[in-house]
Amino acid sequence: MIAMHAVATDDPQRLRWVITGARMPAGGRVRQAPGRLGVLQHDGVIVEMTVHGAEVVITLSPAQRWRDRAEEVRVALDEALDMPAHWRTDPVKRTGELRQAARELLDGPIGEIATAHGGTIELVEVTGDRVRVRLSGACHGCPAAGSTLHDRLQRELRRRFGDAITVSAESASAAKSMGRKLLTLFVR
Amino acid sequence: MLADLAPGQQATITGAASHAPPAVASRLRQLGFRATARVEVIRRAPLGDPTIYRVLDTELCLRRREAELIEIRR
Amino acid sequence: MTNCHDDTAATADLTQARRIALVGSPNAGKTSLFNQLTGLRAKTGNYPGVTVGRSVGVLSVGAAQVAIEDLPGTYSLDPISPDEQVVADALAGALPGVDRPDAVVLVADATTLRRSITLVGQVLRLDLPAVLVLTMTDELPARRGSIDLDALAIALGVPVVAVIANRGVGIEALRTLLGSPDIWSRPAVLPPPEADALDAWGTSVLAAAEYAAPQPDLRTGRIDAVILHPIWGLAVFFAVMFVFFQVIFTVAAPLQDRIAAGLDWLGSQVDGHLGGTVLGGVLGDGVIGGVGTVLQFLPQIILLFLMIALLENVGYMSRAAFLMDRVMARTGLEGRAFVAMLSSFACAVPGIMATRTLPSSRDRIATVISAPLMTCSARLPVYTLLVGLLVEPQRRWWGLSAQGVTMFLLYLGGGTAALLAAALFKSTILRSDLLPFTMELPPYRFPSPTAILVAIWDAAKIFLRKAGTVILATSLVLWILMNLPTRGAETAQLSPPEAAAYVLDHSYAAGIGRAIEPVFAPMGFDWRTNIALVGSLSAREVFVSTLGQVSAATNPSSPHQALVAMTDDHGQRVFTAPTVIALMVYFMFALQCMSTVAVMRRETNSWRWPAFAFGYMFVLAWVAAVAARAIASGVGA
Repeated sequence: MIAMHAVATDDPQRLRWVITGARMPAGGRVRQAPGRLGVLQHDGVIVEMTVHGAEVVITLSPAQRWRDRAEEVRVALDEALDMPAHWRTDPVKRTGELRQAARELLDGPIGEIATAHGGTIELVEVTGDRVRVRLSGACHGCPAAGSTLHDRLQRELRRRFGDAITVSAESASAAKSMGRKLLTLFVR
Repeated sequence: MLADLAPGQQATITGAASHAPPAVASRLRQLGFRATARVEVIRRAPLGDPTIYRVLDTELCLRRREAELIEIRR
Repeated sequence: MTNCHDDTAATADLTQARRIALVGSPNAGKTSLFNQLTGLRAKTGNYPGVTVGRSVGVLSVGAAQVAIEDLPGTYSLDPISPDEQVVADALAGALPGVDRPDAVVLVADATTLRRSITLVGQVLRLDLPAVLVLTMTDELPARRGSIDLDALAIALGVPVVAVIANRGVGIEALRTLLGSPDIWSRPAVLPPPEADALDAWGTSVLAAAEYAAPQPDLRTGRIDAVILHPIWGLAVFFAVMFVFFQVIFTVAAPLQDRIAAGLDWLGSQVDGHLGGTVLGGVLGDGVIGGVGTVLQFLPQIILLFLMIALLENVGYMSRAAFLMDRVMARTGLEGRAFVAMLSSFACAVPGIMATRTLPSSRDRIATVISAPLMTCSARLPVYTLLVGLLVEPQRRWWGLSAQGVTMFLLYLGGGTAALLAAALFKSTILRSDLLPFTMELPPYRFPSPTAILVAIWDAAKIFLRKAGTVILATSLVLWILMNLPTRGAETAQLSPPEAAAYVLDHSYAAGIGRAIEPVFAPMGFDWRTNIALVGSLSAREVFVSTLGQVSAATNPSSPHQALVAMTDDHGQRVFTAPTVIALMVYFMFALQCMSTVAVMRRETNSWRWPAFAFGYMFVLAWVAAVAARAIASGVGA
């Protein structure tokens, strides 16, 4: 039995299935999955499926509901992941995917965490494997929040796209944070 | 079987004995005696029974009769 | 979501009360959390038809009230016993008279999450709005574990709140959250139903939350090396038991004397103003006497519960049960029943209430109906009197005080009888469920003062309400029986003790005493002794004072001389050796104490078991007393 759990996205028809400890198929858009999972694709129950690192992002057709199909998909996914070599995937242009994933995370769970702590985090730009974000609000002042948000985003993106991804955070005021950095050097 | 281990020894649980009543097997599993979990024998009571085991971050005690229902692999 | 800045979560005010259930494993800190949320405003009772206790409290969030129910601790929603069925049924809304909760608060110990994540998954399958509360979140990093709470919340799809119950950390955030279950995030899909898949789900969730399991608690390990050592452990055990009893007798006794003194004063006030009238009698002896008996119990009850709560909260109780399990297993019970039996050596009331820690309802009932056989402290004054009548103070047997040896034998008789009775019931009418004996040994933790206070308060409340009302009612009824009709004319010329004896000899109680004479005649009791037996139904100690009154003793509290001289209607001495022995044996076994009956009723949730207990103990007492008398006469005592 493969360890996995499903996480919501902003689209109710799309779920991120997070896989732990299994050998993953090659990353990219899945043309054909083996076994029952492939049948679900073929029958149009699943309209889109992508492998991002340790996640399989599955989108159901608008006529389906996850509450009804989840068990079936889970069993099929478990079976299919036992044969990672039998998946047919098309690798996709990285940057586009990367930018979309970063945007999704910042609009979704990571952004929510920032808001819960009283601040905001926004995407500045994505070039190749480098993602730049900007922190402001309460996050700007809090020594804990800045580093955890940045780490978290980096961790999530690396999970999907590999260890080459880096996330760098810039604060609303570069000079202030510079001074803060010097201060911590002294105070330490 | 888990009952064969002495205090200080460790093993990995492989499951419940096939002759174990389903309710008992279920209860043991709920408590943490699950397949692939690591179990350590901590100590026996002065009168010989029960025995304290550590499994899945908890210490709990079982009587010999139940410890004989848990299969292990060294 | 966790929140370290000012709380900006909106509070949605509700006009009707929401019902929220607390679910979690035993030892997760659920009850502590419940107390923190509801204060002392919880009502306790039983679930319909079972002996499982039910606690419901109220929490105010803004203008709205939320009803919080502390469901019994459970390891899984797959029930094995009828008691666990209660939790599953309550959550499904399948219990008659118990509405399905509107939302669920899952309480899990952060240090044992690898085990309890499966319960979390099972509860999430119910598809109720849920929030996960993690307790012991300070202990986790202290034992070199860690967890990312926000990542856990994302992986589960529900809000996660970290709480340190003793210090009140996180309680406010939780309280606010409880006001608005509508805005709690819900999981995208329900966790899988089947056990293996659920385990896999749990592993994945914990991996996503970067959960690092804690190391074993070093301090607990060091303490247990002594506490559970074959030699030192047993030594500590006996020492704790010794202290247990010492405290009862040395601390409770002076308090009881104080209360007795206060009541005497009150009684004399009543006498002074209303002396001689029926009202004065009712008020003085009946009400004040009854209340007095109840209050006299109170220091003992409170002290016992204080010590039990302390031992339980520190974590020693499970160690004691572990050491005693082998012994208790011979009777068909288990280690945790030991505490109940032991407490009953002081008083059966806390002993019976302590049976709640037993997971098996049959174990609970068997212990409840056997524990009163243990020699409780109320029997002490009776035994003291009887031993004094039987054995001279100077007598020595094998170098030991004969009186002391006799007392010891009486204590031993009671203790043995209790264990034998339990063994009998467990092997016949109360055979075990399937439940194997398992018990968690939690790490040693500093006891939370709140938890202790709440435990004592709950116990005192139950005792005062249940036992108190029964004792009071019994006292009043008995007073009426023993003091009416008044014989003002006949007693005008007699001295006070003789007048009291006359009234008693011609009271309704005397009528009853004569009527039941055939029952007790084989034991050699005359009708006067029977009056005292009837009187002692309210509390065993009353036997002594009633006998004193009956024998027209000048000092009813120590009627020794009067009793030695007392003769029955035929001029024969009443308290011959065989009769005294029969009386001792009778008291050893009979269930004389109405407060015990009342608490039994409450704990077993029916009159069936207390009635059965009363019945079998009466039969046992009768047979044993008659036999004892026959043997004693035969031996020529």
